[in-house]
Amino acid sequence: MSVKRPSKPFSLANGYEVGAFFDEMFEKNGVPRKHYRVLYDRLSELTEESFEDRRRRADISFLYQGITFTVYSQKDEGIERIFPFDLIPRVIPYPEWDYLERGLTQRVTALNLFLNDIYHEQRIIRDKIIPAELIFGAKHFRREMIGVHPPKKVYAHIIGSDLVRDDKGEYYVLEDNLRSPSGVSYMLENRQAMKRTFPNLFQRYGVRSIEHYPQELLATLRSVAPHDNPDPNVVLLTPGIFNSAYFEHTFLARQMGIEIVEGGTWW
Amino acid sequence: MKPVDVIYRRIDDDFLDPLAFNPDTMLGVAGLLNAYRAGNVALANAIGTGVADDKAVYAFVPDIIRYYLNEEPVLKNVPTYLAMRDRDRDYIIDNLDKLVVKSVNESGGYGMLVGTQSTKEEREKFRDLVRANPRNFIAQPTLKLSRHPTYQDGEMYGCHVDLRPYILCGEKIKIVPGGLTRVALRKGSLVVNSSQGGGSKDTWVVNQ
Repeated sequence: MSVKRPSKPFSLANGYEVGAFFDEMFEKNGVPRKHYRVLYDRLSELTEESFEDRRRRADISFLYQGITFTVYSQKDEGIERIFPFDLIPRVIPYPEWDYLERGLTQRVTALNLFLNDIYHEQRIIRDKIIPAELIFGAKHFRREMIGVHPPKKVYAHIIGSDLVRDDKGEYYVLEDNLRSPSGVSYMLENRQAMKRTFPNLFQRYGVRSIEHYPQELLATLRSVAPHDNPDPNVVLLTPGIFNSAYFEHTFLARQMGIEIVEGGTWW
Repeated sequence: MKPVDVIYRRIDDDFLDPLAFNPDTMLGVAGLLNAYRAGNVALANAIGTGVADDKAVYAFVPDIIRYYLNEEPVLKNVPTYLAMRDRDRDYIIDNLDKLVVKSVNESGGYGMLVGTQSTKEEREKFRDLVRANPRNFIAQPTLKLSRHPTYQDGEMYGCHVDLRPYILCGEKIKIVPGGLTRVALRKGSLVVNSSQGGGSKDTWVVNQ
């Protein structure tokens, strides 16, 4: 750690192999894609030493804020680790994002209509689009929900769909997480860390803001209150401190300014 | 005490209400299901949403989009073989070394076989599992996932990445631009989950 190295320029391109994959940053070895150029130029101004230094400071701030997660294995009781963070951001040009946003909006709209249908009329089964045994045999199908009307007919309010790209750069949805997708606190903390590390780059690049997520989440939750209550009491129900995402639960409750509750301690 | 109107619950259905679901749960709230069914409290997400992220139901999402919206899907699904279909099951069993086999209800990279990186014993184990419980398994071709330069331990190398945007559905649908980019930090690894050696990076949607 204390060994002083000569300050070599930090080079992203030297020796980096694109390989037989779609590389998000490089068109081919040594040639960054157009939307990465601002970032590439900025990183190229740094020495290896100053990049290392920024990285270390970001790691330490994660540790001090207690941003950790717990790994459970069969043997161990659970080990707490820092969520490993990488200082080189991923860049998505706006037109590409616009396409993803349209696709995701379409997808979750259809999935909410699907949930409403299978817990009411079950048209999609009668029309033989999906086999009945697939729905009724699903582990998470809940008979208790048949005939229940959630406010605004929304079932999935918070969704974390996982997208991947193939070797041609084509996007695919790998899975839709419609139960309790986690990780959004890392998204927000990663942004804070990057803003501290490269404060001037954000404006120059026109990076779209994400900091309003907790307010959007709260607005979403408030909008589905029963009886259109204009001033609903919203709480976050956590399994408690031993849950691997407990940090995120406290983080979001604090950001939204709502109470965090555990079963048995309220009601 | 102030009555509660909306519960953002980070507890699985099974543990929500000991009277309705798992009676041993210490985590939930007795009587919650009845209050919910009576419309006195809202739950986000609703109970029973998990049926839509069953990995066998996933295979039908393009059909679901066409059926309810009368539109072609904007985003593609990964081609998916369902072991519950006889023809698909034979194909899966003959091609275990090329496919990724997943249990329909597991997440976090658990309960899966990455054929290209598997041993003979692992493939045999999965062949038996698939035969014993076909409804419980799907398979997909191994995608050559995109990579992103990543700097770890003084070295720059390409790591496989995915992207998890967070979509909010209430009165309107809102998605903050970007999401969480997860990185498979182990060289050559395809698993991006934090519990299995994954990390993350910031994601910038830029005006270009």
